[in-house]
Amino acid sequence: MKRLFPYAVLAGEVGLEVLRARLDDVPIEFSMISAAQRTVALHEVERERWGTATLTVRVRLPKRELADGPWTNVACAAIVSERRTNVRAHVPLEQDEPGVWLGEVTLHRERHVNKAELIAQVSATVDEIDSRLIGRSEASWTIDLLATTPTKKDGIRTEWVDFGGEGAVHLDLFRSDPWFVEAVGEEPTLYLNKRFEGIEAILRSDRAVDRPAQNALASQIAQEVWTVLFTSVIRGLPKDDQGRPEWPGGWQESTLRKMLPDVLPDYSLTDALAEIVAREDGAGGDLHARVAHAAAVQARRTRHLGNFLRAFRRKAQEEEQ
Amino acid sequence: MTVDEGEPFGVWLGRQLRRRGVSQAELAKELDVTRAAVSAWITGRAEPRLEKIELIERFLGLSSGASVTRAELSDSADSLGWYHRPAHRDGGRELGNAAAYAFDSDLAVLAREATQNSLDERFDPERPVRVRYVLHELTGERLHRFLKALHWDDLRDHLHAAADPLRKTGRILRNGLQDLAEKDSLVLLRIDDYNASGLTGPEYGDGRFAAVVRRQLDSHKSTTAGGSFGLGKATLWASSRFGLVMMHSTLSETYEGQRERRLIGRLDLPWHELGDQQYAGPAWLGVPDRERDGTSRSWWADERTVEELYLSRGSDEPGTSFLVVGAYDAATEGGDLETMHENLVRGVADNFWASMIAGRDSAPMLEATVESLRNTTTVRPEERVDPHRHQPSRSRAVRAFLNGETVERITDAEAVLQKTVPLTVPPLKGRREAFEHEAVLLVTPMADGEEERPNRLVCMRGTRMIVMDRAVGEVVGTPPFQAVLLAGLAVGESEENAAAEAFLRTAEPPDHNDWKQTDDLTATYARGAATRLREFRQAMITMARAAARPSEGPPDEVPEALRGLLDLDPPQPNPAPKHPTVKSLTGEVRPDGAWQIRAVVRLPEGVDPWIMRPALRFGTLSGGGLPAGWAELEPESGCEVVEGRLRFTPGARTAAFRGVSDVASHPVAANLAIAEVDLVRGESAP
Amino acid sequence: MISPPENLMSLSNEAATRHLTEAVLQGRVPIPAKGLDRSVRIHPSMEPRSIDPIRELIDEARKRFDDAPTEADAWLAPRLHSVLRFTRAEAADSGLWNHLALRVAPDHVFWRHLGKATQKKPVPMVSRSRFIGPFHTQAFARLWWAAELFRDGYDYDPVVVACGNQDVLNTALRMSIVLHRPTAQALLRLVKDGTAGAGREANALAKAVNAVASTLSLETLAPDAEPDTDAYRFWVGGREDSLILFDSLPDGPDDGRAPLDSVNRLEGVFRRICTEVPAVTKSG
Repeated sequence: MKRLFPYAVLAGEVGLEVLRARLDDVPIEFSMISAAQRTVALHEVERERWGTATLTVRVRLPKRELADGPWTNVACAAIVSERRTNVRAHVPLEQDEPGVWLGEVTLHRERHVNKAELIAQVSATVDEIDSRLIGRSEASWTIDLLATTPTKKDGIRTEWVDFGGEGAVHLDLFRSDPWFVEAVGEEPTLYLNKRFEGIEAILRSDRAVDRPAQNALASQIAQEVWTVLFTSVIRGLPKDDQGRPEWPGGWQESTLRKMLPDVLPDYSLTDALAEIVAREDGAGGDLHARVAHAAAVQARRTRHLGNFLRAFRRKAQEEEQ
Repeated sequence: MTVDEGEPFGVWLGRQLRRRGVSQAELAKELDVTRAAVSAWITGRAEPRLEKIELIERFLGLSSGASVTRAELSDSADSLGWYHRPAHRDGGRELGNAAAYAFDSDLAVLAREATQNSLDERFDPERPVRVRYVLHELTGERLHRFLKALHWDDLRDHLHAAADPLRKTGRILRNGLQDLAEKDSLVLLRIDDYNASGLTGPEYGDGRFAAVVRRQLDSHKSTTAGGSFGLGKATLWASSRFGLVMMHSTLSETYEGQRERRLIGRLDLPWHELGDQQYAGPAWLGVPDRERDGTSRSWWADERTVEELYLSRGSDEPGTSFLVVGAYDAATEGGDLETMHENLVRGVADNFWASMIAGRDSAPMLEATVESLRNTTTVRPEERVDPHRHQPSRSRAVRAFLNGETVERITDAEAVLQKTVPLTVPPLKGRREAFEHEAVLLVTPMADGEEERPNRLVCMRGTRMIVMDRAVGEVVGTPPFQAVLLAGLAVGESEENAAAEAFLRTAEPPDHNDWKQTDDLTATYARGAATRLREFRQAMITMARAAARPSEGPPDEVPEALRGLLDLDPPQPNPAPKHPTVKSLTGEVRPDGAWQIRAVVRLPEGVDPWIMRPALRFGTLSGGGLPAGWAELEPESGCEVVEGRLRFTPGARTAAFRGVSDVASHPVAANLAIAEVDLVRGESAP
Repeated sequence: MISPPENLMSLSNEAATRHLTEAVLQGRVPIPAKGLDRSVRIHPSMEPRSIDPIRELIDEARKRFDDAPTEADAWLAPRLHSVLRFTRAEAADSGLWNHLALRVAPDHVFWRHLGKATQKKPVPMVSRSRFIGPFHTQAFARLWWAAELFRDGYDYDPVVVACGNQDVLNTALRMSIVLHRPTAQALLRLVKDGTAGAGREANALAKAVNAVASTLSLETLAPDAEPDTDAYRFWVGGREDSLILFDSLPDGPDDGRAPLDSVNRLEGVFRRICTEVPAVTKSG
């Protein structure tokens, strides 16, 4: 999809950085802020109870382009939002020097649960209309309230659990399974069964000889995860008032965007979404086979299974000699 | 003219005679006295009577009373000339300035060596030494006036004679002469320093003047640093295509009762033959020194000559101006002014960023500017070399240290963490007590967009020249950082710091690029010095890593093998999808409020013709766009319009169409929303 | 009949999904309470709270709006908000909503959201997403969030307006434009005074504003004030001492109202949009 603005917008890059962060006025280690990963980790061990997090942000605008362009009354703001708590805080920034804007963004602990998104947005008067959006930061920052290190963890939550143990009632039914995928709610979770002999040893092994088996196992787990996720998502797709499927947002949307191009490669994303729903309702045909294929692509099955087989055969040959 | 109080008459008189080229005998004859009498006056054993003094003044062409004020005779420009040193009688030939070969005549190297000399010669230690680089290209009339002032006519034949195309120096020379003749242009590079000692001292003996002008391999050692006016000065000559450098110095202490406008030129040619004469190569522009077979010595120039030679200085502060005639950059084989300008800035910034940092209450050691002109036009205005621009992270670290603004924990993109690295300084031989020096380690996150290699540690002592640039290695889970180690006097003034500074200086090899065991070290310090250095080198890396490392968190739940496979990050869009896509979209809102657009479509290979509906939507802040309809839809190439849909020509790989939106179908006025165009399958618009 | 739980708990999505079979959704078999209770846990950061006042509200709503369950929304939303006194972080935990819908008041969900029989599905049933679903769909979450997003500081009046119009609840609530309080308040003014009072008008206006917000920074044009989180916390702390009145509106958290200037300015902008956009005026 291509977009057109009915007025002049910035072509140059809007850069956004977080310079420092404080939890209740006490600075956190700068190592918890990663510009490369565009992530701030706010969970300091032994400092779990805090009320507010204050981030100092700096935005850099394409100075020359702004000076030469048709824009007046330029304003710059940071926006912190978290979908799950319906927070969208708009914080105007102050111009520090031409092209550089600074400000402080506050997050209240009780208004957030997991990850907040931070972006910068630029507005100006164009063609005599005030406050038109003329630019936003290319990539957003993630403010991760639960992470202890600023690494982008947009992965599926993974937990090691003893499926038969206390506090794992919901997994009791699957106590003899090596893993279980839960794909409902705000966050899908992969549970790995500690009770299942060998799985932890292989997955956590750092021996080179275990690598092929480890990757093949990981690939198999991943394939199942993606299959479950996809199937679960298309069952509960929201529809608009004309009955057409809508993008669901969250992990559901991410799953679709990742897998649809492999499920229906000759359909655009929008068309693929509609088509999936149509096939799901009516004669499914090859849909499930295609989903299995797309899941295998995500799980890199070809590579990992191929390597495993090669290693396995080599080992068998060695033993014969 | 300055009155040098207390200068004996005899000293003054001796100088005037030398400058006039008049011998004691000639004066004796003129005044009708014995030679012994003149000698007695000059040596101060006797003073002439008043009438003789008047005669002396008249004879020297000075006004009456000049001898009382010890007034000076201006050297007249007429007597200026080049003195070419004859070849050695033994037939030995030098093929150019040997020291110049030690350096690439890269302008960045020149900037390093010249600036280092200026820093070493800083006069008032409370104030920065100011260095100013001016690139000046001359053409036409200006060039000719300059060459005339330079007495180029005396040089030309020598230059041509020395331009032996079989030798590197000869080729450079020949190219220089060719360019000058063909392009009628010449680049001058002037390097001024202020608040520096200037070229003090006598013509031939010991002193800064002689070290620079007379001796090429000499290192005139002053106490503060090695290599002051040492080999590095050769880079000046190496940067001239002609080996020609003019000098103008304002002295920090008088010589011959004078301070201002001491000028001399020096040319470094290889051995050459002209007519039936053989020349060693070096030549000097100055006034003839009768006492030394007409050798040229420096002269006290008038302001006009200084101006004609492009040697004017901006103030009467002491210091020297070197004018590199025919400046070029070997790195770029000549190069334009802009590139040369950049190289100079880079050379100064890379080597002296630390010296240029000012604390809140302390001046920097150095200030440097670079400027470029062509005749009277400014090519690049005078630009102050800003350490914070070139080395933002390290400069920030040193400034924070100078300002006492370092922290114990990094909580900020610009915070500077300070740690102590111990250095056990062993006793000098024959003494007993070793002591512990506390070197300062600074660690700071690397600035956004900085081009330096990350995770490095640079080490320096009092001069703030970088001795070592070491890799610290990546520290997992840590943003890239830069570290600076300050040792010796760089930590501050104290007796112990000075002792540590001396120890480290002794541990530096001649290139000043390491701290290790040297012969000097073994000779000066008690046993174990090398071990202490090894410990120090190890400690600084360990400390830097520790300082950069974040506090430990709990281990990750996700097995490494699974991590890459369960990523929910959006995928990279496929640049070559297997379905038609809008590749480019242009357009505008017409005065009647309708969108007029043009779209270019990329088509994948396919057997059956693609039939797609071009969907126009108005973008929204959240959720999908709002549909709008077309009033007109027109194929442009690679497609036809059938009942509101596009039927693409089979086999076509691109297509284009135009459309005008239906205003009545707009969910909002067109100028208030984003237009989105997409190609969809399925039936025509609802 | 299985006794309702004593306290509000958190019920995992997984368990809730597992037990919501089609037969349950059709009301043909009772909610498997015992099975569900094996999967509940205490919310980690919330004090235990009794379900009694919640039940009391649900029962009263049933009594008052027996014939017209849809109309119960406007009455229930502010009161539910006032009784629950969740923080937003708590409200983001779907486990609480699952427990409310499946264990505390499944009768309300059936009463309010039982669908009509269709050709495809001849037995009427409740959509699963009314029990476990996104905040704008789940039977109780949508009311709580409507109250939270549409209240003007302590004033629940706009909530009554919003929840009295199913199109606002179904369409506007899920748009991020209403996260900006002045936008939400200005929209509701137009709904209230009839400019966009009918369902389709409100719908068209919300969509138009959603489109305009893609080029216009409403937040820059009409700045909001930062909510007073301390006041909100104070209000949450007063839960035990409050009494819910059935006939008059309670007061919400006094965490500051949307700046009047900003609401006025946006009201003007939206009125202009109404006159310019055919869809809004056409359907009126």
